[in-house]
Amino acid sequence: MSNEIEEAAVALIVNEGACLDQRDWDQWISLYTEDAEYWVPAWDDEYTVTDDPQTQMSLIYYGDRSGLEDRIFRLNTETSLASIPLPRTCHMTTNYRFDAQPNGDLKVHSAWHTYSYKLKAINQFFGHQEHLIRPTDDGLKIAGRKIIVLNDMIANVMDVYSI
Amino acid sequence: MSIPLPSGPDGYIKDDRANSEFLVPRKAFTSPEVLAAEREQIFNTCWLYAAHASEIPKANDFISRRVGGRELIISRNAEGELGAHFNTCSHRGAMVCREKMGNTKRFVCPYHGWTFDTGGVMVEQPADTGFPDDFFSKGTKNLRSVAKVDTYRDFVFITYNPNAKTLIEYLAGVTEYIDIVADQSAVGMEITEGNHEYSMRANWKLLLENSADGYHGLTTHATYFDYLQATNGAFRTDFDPATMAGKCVDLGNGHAAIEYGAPWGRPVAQWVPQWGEEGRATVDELKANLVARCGEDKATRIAEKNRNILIFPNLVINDIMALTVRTFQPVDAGYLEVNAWSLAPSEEHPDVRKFRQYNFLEFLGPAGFATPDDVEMLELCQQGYQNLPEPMWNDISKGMSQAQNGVNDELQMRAFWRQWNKLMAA
Ligand code: FES
Ligand SMILES: [Fe+2]
Repeated sequence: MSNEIEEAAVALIVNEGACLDQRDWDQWISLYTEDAEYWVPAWDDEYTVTDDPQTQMSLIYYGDRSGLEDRIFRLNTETSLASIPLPRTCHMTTNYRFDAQPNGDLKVHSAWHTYSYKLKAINQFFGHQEHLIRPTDDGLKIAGRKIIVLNDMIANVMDVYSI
Repeated sequence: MSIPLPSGPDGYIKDDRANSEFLVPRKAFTSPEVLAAEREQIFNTCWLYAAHASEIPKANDFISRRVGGRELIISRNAEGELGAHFNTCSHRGAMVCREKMGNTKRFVCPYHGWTFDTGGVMVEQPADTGFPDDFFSKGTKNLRSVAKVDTYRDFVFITYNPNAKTLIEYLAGVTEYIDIVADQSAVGMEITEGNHEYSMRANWKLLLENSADGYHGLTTHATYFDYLQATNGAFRTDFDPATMAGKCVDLGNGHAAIEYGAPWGRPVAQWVPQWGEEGRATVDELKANLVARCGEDKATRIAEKNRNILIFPNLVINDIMALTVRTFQPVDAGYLEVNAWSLAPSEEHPDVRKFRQYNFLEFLGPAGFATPDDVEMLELCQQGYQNLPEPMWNDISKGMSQAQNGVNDELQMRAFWRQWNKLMAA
């Protein structure tokens, strides 16, 4: 695997955070492939997260991108009080490690931290994540993202913009 | 204990049946003294939901969690008998168990090593001198057990009150509704792995009221209904909107429920087009089995109706597009921590389990399409109370002038508050 694709993958992940911070939902969605799985598992015990989104609990699970589109639809209705006003967010991602897949995809492990600020209250989530990055005719896309939220006592709300 | 609430002929509430007006004092949501009194007079006297038996199925399984403000170890001993002990060492008080769940033969106190079995019996300690021979054999150094533990249809309840009446008496009319939940499986319901933990800056009674409040649905959850409307096949095509009016019942001892037609898919046995033809065959078979087991009428009630069930004071079972078991910890008058699980038939078909968990996450939980909006409303109420410092009252009169209450009325909340008042004014 060349450094070139690794650098481009990191740029894509950083760009994802920027889209969310700028509330550019359409641009954010376009970073994902249509079949991208998006998964935030729930915690099972102290050190273990759930490992099967079909039978166990998750915090968020979508088998493909349409679920993310539903969330954006909801945000765009501007009638969900939990998202009014939307928090100002700051996504940070670091500690990248790369794991080339036999099919040409690149799995990128990273650490992340997102601050949210809304109505004078600061909230934060942090954790680890895996992005599955796929070369397509349309450039690199996110074909899957699994997000481990380490602080899962959730104050009020967690949404795609806060992780 | 003196409670800083205005007291009148009805106690701490105003229950004016002649004028169909029901009022509760806002200070009951904001006062630390009221919460302290609630701990004494409600959480220390009632039966409290502690766990579901499926969380600790085998001998020596345990969970540790807070129930009614105190940390407990809820476990099965080596013989598989259920028990609940205060999580504090009989030596000098350290918390003995720090894991959320597991299976073990022994709990070893981390401070000096006093060791207890899963039935709470003190079995050894590391020193070989300093105690008389029979010191530990008298039973006085065992972990202290809660006053009573009992189970109804796999829901495990405890009480700190040695004089509490039996659990079955306490549950009164709500057993009918717990049965409807438990009967959704031929072999037993189970808590699915993983849970949701979330917090809100709101009083615990706001959550109780909200959990069975039909009146707020179309306003607070407008965005959810917009979304469902825009989703192909999310509603049953032959749904009769008249069934949405439903009913609201007072089940005694502060328990209550609302029950109403479900427009959406219910994994127990109500198919919607979104689940496809293959899903239809599976769900139709579930319905046929349910009819065979429970008879046509009850099976149809189970399959086609939603139920939001309040079990006083700390359990909510919402049998809606999925089945959630929800309990909570009041940390202070204006702050609450909530735990929620997804309950399912343990023999559930994998395709149907998938629909269930999808439905659950779509509506429920801190990242769902509804729960965060509820939480936001409850926080707005808690904040609103600060803005008018003189004695103010919440109005819970809706439906009081009617013989029957529907889901959009407030009988369920009056049932809760009348019991609250009875215990607090006692
Ligand atoms: S406090 Fe537990 S052994 Fe001393
Ligand atoms: Fe709600």
